[in-house]
Amino acid sequence: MRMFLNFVRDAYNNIKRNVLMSTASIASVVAALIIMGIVLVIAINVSYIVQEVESNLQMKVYLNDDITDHRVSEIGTYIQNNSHITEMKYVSKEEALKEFASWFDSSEETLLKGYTQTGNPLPRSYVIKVDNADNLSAVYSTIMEYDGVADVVYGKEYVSVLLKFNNLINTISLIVVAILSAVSLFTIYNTIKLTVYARRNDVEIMRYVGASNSYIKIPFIIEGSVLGIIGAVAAVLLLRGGYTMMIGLMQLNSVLPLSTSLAPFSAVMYQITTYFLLYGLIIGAAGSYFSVSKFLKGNVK
Amino acid sequence: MIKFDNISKVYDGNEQYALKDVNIHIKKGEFVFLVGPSGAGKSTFLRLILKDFNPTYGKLYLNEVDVNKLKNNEVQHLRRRMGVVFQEFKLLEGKTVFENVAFAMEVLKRDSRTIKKRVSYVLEIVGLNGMEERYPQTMSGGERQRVAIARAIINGPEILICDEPTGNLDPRTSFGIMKLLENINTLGTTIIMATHDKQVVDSFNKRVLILQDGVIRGDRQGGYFY
Repeated sequence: MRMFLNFVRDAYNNIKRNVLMSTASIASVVAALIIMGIVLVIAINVSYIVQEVESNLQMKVYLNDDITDHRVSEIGTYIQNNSHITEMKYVSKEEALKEFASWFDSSEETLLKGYTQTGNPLPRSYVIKVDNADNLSAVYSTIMEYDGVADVVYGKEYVSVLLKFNNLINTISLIVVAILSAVSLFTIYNTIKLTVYARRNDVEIMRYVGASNSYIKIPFIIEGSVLGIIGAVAAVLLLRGGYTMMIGLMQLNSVLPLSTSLAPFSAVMYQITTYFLLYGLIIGAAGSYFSVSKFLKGNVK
Repeated sequence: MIKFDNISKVYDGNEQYALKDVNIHIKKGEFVFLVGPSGAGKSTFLRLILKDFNPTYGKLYLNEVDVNKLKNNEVQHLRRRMGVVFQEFKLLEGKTVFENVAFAMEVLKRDSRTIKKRVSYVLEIVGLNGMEERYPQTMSGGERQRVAIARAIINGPEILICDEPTGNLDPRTSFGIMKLLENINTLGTTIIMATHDKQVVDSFNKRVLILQDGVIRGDRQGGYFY
């Protein structure tokens, strides 16, 4: 415990001693994380929108008028037994008419008065919800094969575009995260390399008094992790401010189509804070580890 | 104790020998001066003992153990039995005298009570008692070298390697440092000291190894500089 405290104290003193270098290193982590954060915010929002759309995605199964009530309930059972269907509601001809009527205001209601019970042209239907947008087309094909089903309707083109867009954004985010990870790793690696070089005397003395390699490496790894975490915290705070501002702006300009669909602040920030802290810790520790290991390898022959 | 068995050293990317066919035996408790012009191979000689690298040819034995065959962790144990003093002191500027000396014991995970006791004792030997809380940058060259010597002997090494320890000091201070090293030697520590200082070598009447162009040109007991 005493030794760990010594390591932490040494790491703290080193950061203080190399303020400029440490600041540069933190700044590069912050810059990388902010760009990454913006991409993640977009990705999280797109998948949030997709989820929203998915959970509201309705499929309407219209039934032929000439089938018996028995067949109608049979089709209902088939649909209910499909594991991808989460909700099902039966809409009778009367209900369909009522719903249709609700689209008109009272002055236009007379338009529909001519339709009696027997003259109602609207078909019976089942309104169903599917668990995942990916399963829509499979569910569609299955239901279309049932006898007595006139048509199945859902926003086919809209859904496929949305899914493609979501996949594209996810791929772009992955690429950006990979590139920026390499950049941050390289920056931390170089910063620690310079601090190791600045403290080559300390390292040399440690080696000559017989310190183990891990004893030499640990303070540098702690230092790198601390730099990474400070960078992550700064990036989270900046993104937090930016995101709050953006939500505010979008609410003001409600003409924007996304205004009502932005993922809630807490959901986004919780994910980003967790990712960033972990990311800062890992990148900082790994960068330092590689750097100091290389230095020791180059000097211990 | 230390045996150079036909050792030659050629650095990577170099054609010239830094050391060539060196056969030397240094016994326990000896005080040996290593003299010669710059580039003669003195530092290579010392760094081979410290196992900074292996010889290109030949074998080096420490207490009859072939040093070339040691694994990484065994090298760390070997170094714990040695102390090193450099011309430029190599003290940690951000640490006090006490911390600089204690550092060498902390690395070996000694407990703080033992460290405190031992550091006081060693600082007394090198004549720095009462200066525990001073920082190296506030001290004279001679005092700094004493701190470095205290750090080198704190773990009771069998061998003390000194690379030009008086190189940055005036003659009077050098004499004081030499007296201190001589005392440490009489307590049983083997000392190998590379130096350019003719006056020091001539006044202390020890074994002198003369290196020139990587070759041992002389090995005299109670010898003089050249």
